[in-house]
Amino acid sequence: MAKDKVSRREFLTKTSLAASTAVAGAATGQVGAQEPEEYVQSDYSVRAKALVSVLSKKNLLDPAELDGVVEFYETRVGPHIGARLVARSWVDPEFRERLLSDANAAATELGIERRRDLVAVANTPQVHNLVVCTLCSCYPWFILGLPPTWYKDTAYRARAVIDPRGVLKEFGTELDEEMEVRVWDSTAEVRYLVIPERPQGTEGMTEEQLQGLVTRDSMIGAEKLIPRV
Amino acid sequence: MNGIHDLGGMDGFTLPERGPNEPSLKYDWEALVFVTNIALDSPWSLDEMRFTTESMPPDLYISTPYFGRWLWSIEKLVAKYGLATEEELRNPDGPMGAVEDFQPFTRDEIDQAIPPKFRVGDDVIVKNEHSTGHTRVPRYVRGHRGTIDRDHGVYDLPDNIAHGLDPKPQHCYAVMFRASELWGTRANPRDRIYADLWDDYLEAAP
Repeated sequence: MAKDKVSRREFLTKTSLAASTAVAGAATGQVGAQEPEEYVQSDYSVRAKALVSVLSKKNLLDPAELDGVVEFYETRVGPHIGARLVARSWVDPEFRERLLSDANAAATELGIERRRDLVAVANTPQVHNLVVCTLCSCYPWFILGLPPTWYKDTAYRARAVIDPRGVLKEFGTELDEEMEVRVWDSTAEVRYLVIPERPQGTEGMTEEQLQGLVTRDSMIGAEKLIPRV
Repeated sequence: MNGIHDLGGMDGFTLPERGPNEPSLKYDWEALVFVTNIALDSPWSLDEMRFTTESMPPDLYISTPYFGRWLWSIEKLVAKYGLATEEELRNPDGPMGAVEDFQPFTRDEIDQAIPPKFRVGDDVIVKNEHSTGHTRVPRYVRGHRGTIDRDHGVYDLPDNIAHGLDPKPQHCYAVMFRASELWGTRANPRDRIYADLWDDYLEAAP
């Protein structure tokens, strides 16, 4: 992972040099000799590098800033933030009430910075929640980090609202017929956080240990947390 | 617009694998597109960028990877607002023209005291309107009956922001729809779908 990060850093800051090389490579017809998938990716690579290079030359982008932006979104924000809200709601029933009635205020209580308005929806033995953005890919990145690829996929966007149980089954969770599924389509400015049920067998755990159990996908509603027995 | 992006309820797609921690930015070019979108102090709103993506020809939209759609949209908007020409993007080491003056997009403070048209518990019908411009009311709820579940507060109307019109701030609600209302006998009758909809998208149910 560290190796990947170093190579990406070099990639971003050396973009203007790379742009001309990439364009020249395409022009000499080397691209045609690649596998179709590689060709497609190198085509996007050429265009993306050209875009950054041109905007940088026009002083509309500062290439030196780019690494910092990626690092922020890949590491500083992430599901560890949402997990704090979940774990606190498990150990403190009054906090849970506050979280469910006003997630903005509850996030502020824990010192969590929001970029959008937040609504928390709780899974119970009777109700399972699932979040989607059918129209594009809106996602609570400020508390969960960057969205998984499957969330942004056309298939998930199309199916989640009409066949949530089928989607969950393919994702490995089978729900009882008697349960109620609630699908939240993030069509506006509010972002949704699913509060998964606390898994069985975690009674002795500290709040910090509980945070470690909460997965990104459980906070989207794509999975339930497994019991610890 | 009734575009290809409005996917809710469509059949025929194959769900991808749900990997435990696959990266959101898999290829380096995706990272470049991602940061450009964040770091650029653009003259266009997020709403206009969404509309630009929605305007992709349907076959291109479906066959283009997610960040490829962002790239396409940014290229179009950069040209539209005179930040760079298509020629310059094709020849990044060639001659560069000056950037036309522009104002970065900003939003005004929203007056939260604007009164709502509806209250929690009200039954509503989603208007059967089919704008050719940007809107955030998906086709699968239009004409259907739902119940106001939450009042999220006041927000600018994206239909207007995307096209540079008066922001027309108004209440936006989580509206609850019974799955059987939307999908007929195909649905599990216990299930509910919630969509966040603005005042202008709704009318009182009889």
